[in-house]
Amino acid sequence: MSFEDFENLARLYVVGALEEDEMGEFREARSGFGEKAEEIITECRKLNAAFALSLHPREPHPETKGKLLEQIRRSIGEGG
Amino acid sequence: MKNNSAKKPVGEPVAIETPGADDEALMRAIQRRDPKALAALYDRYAGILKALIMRVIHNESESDDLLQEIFMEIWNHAENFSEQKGKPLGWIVTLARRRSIDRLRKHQAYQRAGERLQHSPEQQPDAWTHNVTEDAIDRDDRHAVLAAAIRELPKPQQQAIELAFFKGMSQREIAAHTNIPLGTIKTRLELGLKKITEALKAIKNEF
Repeated sequence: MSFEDFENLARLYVVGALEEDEMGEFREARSGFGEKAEEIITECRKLNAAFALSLHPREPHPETKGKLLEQIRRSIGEGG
Repeated sequence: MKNNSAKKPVGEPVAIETPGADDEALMRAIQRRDPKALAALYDRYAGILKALIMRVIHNESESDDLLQEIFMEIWNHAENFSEQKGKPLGWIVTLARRRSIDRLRKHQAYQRAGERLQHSPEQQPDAWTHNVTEDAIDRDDRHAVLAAAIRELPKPQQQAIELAFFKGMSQREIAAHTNIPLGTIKTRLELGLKKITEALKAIKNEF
């Protein structure tokens, strides 16, 4: 597999679109390309953030943050 | 939701100014169990994550519940984040997307969401076109560049990415859903993702 082919698979991998039969091929190439492969996968992970950032933000319900912080406060209390 | 925070020690008071801290500093503070850091992370990204969740499950009140659960998961599993594997936002979005798709499937709403996809204007393949306003472009350069990059993709590529990323469909599921050959779907995804990757290089602020 060429490195360009691996890059294509890496992009599909990070967005969760690799088929099972491609996964074995991807793992083998990942291992073969070593550190270079890991660098590309780290780069490709930015795609996930990119798709989220492309959306127009939606305002959360005003009570959600308070509920979250209360839940955390309780969990810290339970943890000592 | 499972609460495993009892196993974790509560850290020392944190000496960072959370509103101005970068994402990595906030994640390190959350790993030290600082609730203020999580509150700051919430202020920074809750709107983006809510948009992501809404895009997947299409239910306002359930999206807020899920948003809360996702931030609790960030709190409870912050130790799983590693700066060596990427930026915090990528990790957070990956987590939020997985949970949203899990929720979609749990409620067996997959088919119904597919039907809504065909009928709701927001869910047309060109949804990015309609989601982007001039105000939004002015507010966030990253948003502008990314939304424009996606808008400029051919509609079939947008649709393939929409179904893969926001609906969690495999290539085979997309092929079946759209009645388009698997090889064509694979090509559309590859080309679309490659173009978005190229667009990312034009963004100055890392994420």
